[in-house]
Order: sequence, then structure tokens, then C-alpha cells
Amino acid sequence: MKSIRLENISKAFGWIKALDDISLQINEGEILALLGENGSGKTSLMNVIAGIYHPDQGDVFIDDEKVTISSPKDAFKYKIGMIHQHFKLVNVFTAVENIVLGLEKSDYKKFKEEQIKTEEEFFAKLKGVREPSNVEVANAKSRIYHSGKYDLNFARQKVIQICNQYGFKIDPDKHVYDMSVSEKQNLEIVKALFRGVDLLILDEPTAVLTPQEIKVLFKILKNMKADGKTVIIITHKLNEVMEISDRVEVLRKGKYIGGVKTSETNPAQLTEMMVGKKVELEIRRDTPVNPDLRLEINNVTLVKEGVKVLDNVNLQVNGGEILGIAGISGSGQKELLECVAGLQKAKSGDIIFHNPKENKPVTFFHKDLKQIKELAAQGKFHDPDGNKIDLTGLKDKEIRKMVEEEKIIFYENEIMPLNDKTPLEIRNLGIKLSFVPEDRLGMGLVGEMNLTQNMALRSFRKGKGMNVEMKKPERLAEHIVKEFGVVTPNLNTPVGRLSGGNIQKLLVGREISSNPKILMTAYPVRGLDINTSYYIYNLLNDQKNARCAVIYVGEDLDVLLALCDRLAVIYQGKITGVVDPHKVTKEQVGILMTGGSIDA
Amino acid sequence: MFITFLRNAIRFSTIFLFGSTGETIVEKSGHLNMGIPGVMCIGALAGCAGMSIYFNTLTDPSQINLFGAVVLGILFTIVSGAICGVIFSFFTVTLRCNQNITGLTLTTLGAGINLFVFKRLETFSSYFGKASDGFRNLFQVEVGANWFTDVFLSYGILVYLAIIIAVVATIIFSKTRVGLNLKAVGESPATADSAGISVTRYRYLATIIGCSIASLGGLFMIMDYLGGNIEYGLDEYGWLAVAIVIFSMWKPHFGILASFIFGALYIAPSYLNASFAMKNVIKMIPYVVTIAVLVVTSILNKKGNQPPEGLGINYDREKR
Repeated sequence: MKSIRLENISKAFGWIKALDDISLQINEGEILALLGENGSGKTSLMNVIAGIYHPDQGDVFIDDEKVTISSPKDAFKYKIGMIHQHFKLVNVFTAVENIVLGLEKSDYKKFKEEQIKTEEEFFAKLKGVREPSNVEVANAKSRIYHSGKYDLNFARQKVIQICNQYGFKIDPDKHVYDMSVSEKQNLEIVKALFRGVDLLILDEPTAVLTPQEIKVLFKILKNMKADGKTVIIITHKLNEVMEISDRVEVLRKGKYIGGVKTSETNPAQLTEMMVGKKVELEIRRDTPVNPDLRLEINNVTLVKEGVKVLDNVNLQVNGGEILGIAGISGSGQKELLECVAGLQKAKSGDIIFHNPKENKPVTFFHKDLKQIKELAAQGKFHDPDGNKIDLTGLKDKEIRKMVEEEKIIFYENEIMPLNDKTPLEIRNLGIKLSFVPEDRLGMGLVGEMNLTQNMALRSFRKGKGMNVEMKKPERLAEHIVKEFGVVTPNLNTPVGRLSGGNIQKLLVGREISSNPKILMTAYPVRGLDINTSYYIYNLLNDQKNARCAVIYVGEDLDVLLALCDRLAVIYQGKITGVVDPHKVTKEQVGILMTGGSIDA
Repeated sequence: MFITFLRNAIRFSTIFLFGSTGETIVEKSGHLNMGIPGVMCIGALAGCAGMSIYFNTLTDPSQINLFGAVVLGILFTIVSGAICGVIFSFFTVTLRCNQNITGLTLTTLGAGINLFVFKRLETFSSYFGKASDGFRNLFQVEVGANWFTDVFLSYGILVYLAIIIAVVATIIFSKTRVGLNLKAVGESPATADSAGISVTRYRYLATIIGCSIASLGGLFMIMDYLGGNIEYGLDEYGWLAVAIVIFSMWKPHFGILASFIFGALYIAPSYLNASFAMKNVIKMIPYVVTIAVLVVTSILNKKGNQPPEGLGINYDREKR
């Protein structure tokens, strides 16, 4: 294979045009970065080359010859392999079983012929220099021998050879379910190389890796380039584009925007091409004003199916501050947030909420009469003039009146453990969790229900009798649609039909609308375009300025370092460090993310 | 006494073995076929109906060519099973219907049609009685000579066939390319698809072959174990066969043992001097054991012993 040319490729899914008349050239032996925001059609375009999608229009040329690639198998025939974001691996198979999956007799025959050729070349080189030794002849024979039967030993040898050549570390007999994400990715690449691909397409390969693993991957890619292979890397991370690629091609909303040599461009220009207008790359970070302790997590341990998902976690979260949590996905971030929200019961440890009640009147919203009397007996309240309140001897009716007139005021913040509270009670205290799972809808919103009904999910207890109160949720939905610029035909549209970004705005908007005291967000910008992401960052900053304690669980280290006031790193359920984002480097955080320690 | 019990347990477990091996093959491809009880019923009646066409040309049961009747019965059964497999796959693969509903429909259909057709075949009952000799005795060594031949060599052709199929299935799963591909289709159809394996073809073929095998279980029950007595319903055995698939953790060679255990427990009450209530309690043990196995395997959570990951989920390549 020399080069690939795409001409006028178009592809539509329903009414949405994913690819709109795209022409593109891929040269031999280069590392090409395909840049674009989520939904810009990068992956769809590459799926066309990899034989997963058939273009509605347009042609693919390989070496100026028109070809039809109608299946991944066809793609392998043209020596094209693609590594998808969701790995195409069978969990219960070993590495080598995954690699030989789908190979046929004829493939083995081809391998055998190739092997014979290399052995012959080897002996041809020896000719005239010296006679080949018996061992060499025997080894060559054993390498050539292959009957075309289903034979894992043959594959195993070839895998080890590939690993040594490019610098992979793979145990051929390890089961996939025992592998880390980066091992799985390496396995996918080896799988493609095993089939002899010359063009390797990687779809967002770095999204799930730590900085250290990314370095290793890039080294492997450079080895492949040195070996004459072509690599296309799909990404939206500019620093990676600058680091690894020779050339950049940019897509936007299914259209081809242009291509530049990496050496002749800069991140600002690329962003402009990607987004279509100038974008401020600085993330807003307001200086925190008087952060005060809002949440204490003391020695929390959570055991799930015999595994310590959280291991003696200690964290403090302050009001008026954004606390970032970094870590490889699945390190316990989700469980930590769920513990605070009361959705998981910790095995041991305390979660203590400091309700910011200092100099604020008591209400019947959280306390009943009995509790108020008890607190008053402990001397917790003062009146508007600053005198201590004594409720003994007063009638219930009089106390009620005082509460309603806001005459009973807290001396100090109320400290309450959350361990024995139900998720509902915790929510009512103002501790809100907005978790954006991978499929966006899994937790928080119901795809089949419309906007108003989804708003009502948080307030359905408030109706009178059997009826659900729908007026207020409707007004809230209207408000969020207007305030956050949610694009929707109307309020009766099922949220599942909205685009990812709009769904996320809706979810975050609903949580913010209730003036939370603690706002926990996990991956709120996952899959969003740059503009919407920055909009969400600004919202979090606004919440911080409104004295809310914000917890931000994120994936992108650049963002975490730029947005947060403090950054906690979690590894296998342990907090490996709480660092100052102003002072640490990405590499240092990466070390913490893999369980190491740094001096800071 | 004990030899007789052992012999009958092995014979009885054959219906389970056919059913569970067939269902295991189907499930390995990612199809959860709840229609196995129905497939067994249809298999039994198709075999009998096929033979009855032949019997129709005869005037007396003694004229039956036993070998011919056996071959005819097996042939018709396998074809009917294959048709069931085609129906199931057409609904789930081609039309992408819900697998549970498709399977349950097949079961309801099978159990109903079974009773209906067997009523029509009652006139041939003496012929079936004679033909069952063929199923029982064609390859049989003399019973009662010694314990070894009694336990190991005294069975009809279908018993041996069931064990051979289970062993062959095990070898195919663990040692061949086809087995690897089939497992991949059941575990992760998207992966198999991207490796160039036709998910549609494998699911169709596995379901057709699996259903054919399971349908033989029905034929065995009527023609061999019950001696040509066609008045019994078969669907309850089908459910146990599905349970055995879980019990054997999707491994056909475990299935041989599991089927034997279930068969032995099922017929044990008749050999015990127990009260009526107690006998029914013993009959319940297989179900309890199945639940226990489910609980234990899910607690152990050993990744090699789990159902195929794609089980029950239809594959749609273009779905995003």
C-alpha cells in the first residue's frame, strides 16, 4: 500500500449528515492526526476506510485504484486496521486467542509463505559467507512449519516476535479480563500488526491512558512509523497532535476544513479551524474567597464484592472552592461520590457535613419542633440581637411563630454526620450529585421521558395527595432551556432524542437550579464540544463564587489542573495525594495516578 | 436393584443431555432460546408423524423394518428441529425480535401442537410400541449378562448418540477454529464482526444445529424411554434441560455429568421406599441445586464460568 485518497465521501444517519462531501489524502509512512470535536465525523470517516460503514456517496482510492471496502475483513485485505475506542476484544479469551480470532486457513498459508520468504532471505545472505549451522536450519524449519490448522503455538511465537520488534509488553496467555486498559490497547495494536496492516487507525487512543502510558504508546507509534507503517490518530487533544503527528487534517460538523503540516501550525490556529472561531483556551479560575470547611470524609472504606473499592479515604472539601479528583477511570471516583450522596453505605469511616448555618435562621425545612427544642437546650441559637435563646416554658405555638419570623438563629455551622441519613435526606440538605455516566442517561435522566417529567424526577414527592406537581417542573424546564441554551423542539421531547451536549446541560442545570451546598459532578464535559465545555466550566466557577463546594471528577488532566483549586488523586480506592494544581506538573499527577508518590 | 436404577438413570438423563447440549450450542452463539421445551415436543411429534407415514403403508406392526423406522424417525426429528431453529433465528437475527418472547412462543406452540397431533396418531400406537424396539434394541447387548454390560453397553442408539454429540461439542468448543469463532460471536458479536466472522451465519447455524440436537431428546423420550407411549407431555423436561445448561456452566462435558445427576434425582423417588410427599420433595432437588449453583457461581464471580456476555442480546451492526 502506498497512499489512500478519499473523494467526495458522504454518509447520513437518518436526517443527520455525519459526513458531507469529504475529500482527503493519506500519504505513506506518515503519522496523520485527524482533528475535530465530538460529532465532527472523524470516527465515521475512518469507519468508512475500515469497512464498517458504507458511504452513501464517494469513492476510496488506494494507490489511485478505486476500491470497495465493505467489511473489516476487506480492510485487512488492503492492510488497513482500526483500533476502536471501545475495544473489540473478547473478555474470556486469552490474548493469543483474541489475535487469531477470525483467521482462516488461507491466512495461515499466507503467513507460512511470508515466513518461508524471510528464512530464504536469511540463508541467501549467508551464502558465500559461511555454511548455516544445523541449529539455524532446524529453527528455520520449525518456524516455517505450519499446517494451516488451528494452532495457537504458531500465533504465540509470532506475537512474541511482534512485541519484541515494536516494544509491546504482552503476555500471550493472559485473559483479557485480567488486563489493564493500556494492555488491552496494546493487544489491539498487536492484533492489527499480526494481520500485517500497513495503515493503522487509532480512535482517541489516549483518552483512557495515564501520561506515562501515553508516552509508551507514542514511542510505539514512532517505532511503527520508522518501520514504514502509516498511522492515523483521531483526537481532539491539541498537545498530542503537536507532539506526535506529521500532518493534521481538520473536520468540523461533518465537513472537511483543511490540512496543515504540524511543524507549520500552532494550537491556537488548530482550535480556530476545529471550532470555526477564535476560542479563549484559558479556563476561567476565580480566586477562592475564604474557603470554609464544608465536608469531611474521614477514613472511609467501602467494600464491594470482597474488593476494597475505597480504602481509608480522607478528604476535606471546602465551600467556595473546586476540588478536582483525578484518577484512572474505575479507581473509586464514582463510589466516593455515591458514598457522600448516600447511595452506597461505607463499611467504616465518617462523612461529616458542615451545614453553613452560622447566623442563619432555623427553618422547619430540615428540623422539626422537637429537634429545635433539643438544640435550643444545648444553647445553639441566638436571637436577632445576639442574645442566647431559652425556649423552656414556651408553648409550641409560640416557638412555631418565632421560627416563622426567623427569630431563632444559629450561632455556628451545624455539624452533622451523613452516615445514617438516607439519600433523600442528604439531597434535601443541599448535597447534589450530577453524575454523567458513559451513556449519559444511565443515572439522572430517563431517556424515554420528556424534559418536564425529567425535571419532576427531583420533586415528585411534593405534589398533593396522589397527584404529581407538574407546574413547577415545567417552569424549571423552561428556565433551564432558556438559561443554558438547550436546543430542543419543545418541552415534550423525550430527552433521549436530544444531543449529548444538551442532555448534559439539562442534567447539570437541574442540579444547579436548587442552589446546592455541595455540587458533585463527574465527567460533566464528557463528549461535549469546546464551547459547551467552557460554558460548563463557567457554571462551576459561578457555583464556587456562590459559596458552593464543588467536586469535579474529570478525565482530562489539562482541564483538572487549570480549573481546580485543589486536586486529589485517587488510585485503586486510595487517595495518593492532594496537590496544588498551580504547582504540580501533569507528569507528577500521572505518577500519583498509578500509585506512585511525589515530593511536593 | 442398584444396577437397574443406574441404568435407568443413565437412560432418563439422555433427554436432558440432548436438550442441554443443544441449548449450550445455541447459547454459545448468544441466543437465549427459551423454546427448547417446545422444540423437544415438536421433535418428538415430527419423528412420530414421519414414522406414521411409513406405518400407513403397512397392514401389521410386525412388518416394520426396525432400522428403517429408526432412521426415518431421527431424520424427521432433526429436520423439524432445524426448522424450529430457522424460525427462532429468523425472528431474532433477521427481524431482531426479543429472544425471550420468541422462545416462549415456540414453547407454547410446541406443547400445544404436541397434544393436538398425538391425538391424531393414536391409531398407530401399536406400531409405535413395536418401533420403539428398534430404538431400544438395535445396538443393544443382552441385558442381565453381567453388571458391566448392563451399565455401559445396554442402551439404545440415541443414548450413545447423545454422549457422542456432547463430547464432540466439547472438542469443537475448545480445540477448533469454528468453536473459537462461535464463542466470540456469543461473547462479543461486535468483536467477531470486526474480525470478519459473520455473526448472522454463526447464529443461524448454531441455533439450527442446537435445536436439531435438542429435538432428538423429545424423540428419545417417546420412542425409547416411554416405549412408544405418546400420551405424555414433554415440556417439563425441556425446562430442566435449560437449567442444566446453567448448572454445567455452559460446558457440554460437564453437561453429561449434570444430566446424569438430574436424571438420577428425577427417577430416584420410584426406587425409594418413601412417602408420596417425600418423593415430590426429592423431585424438587434438581431445581434447588440449580438455584444453589447460580448463587454460588455468582458469588465466586469467576470470570471463566459466566454465561456468554452477549447472551440474549440481538446484534445490530449499524446501531450506534
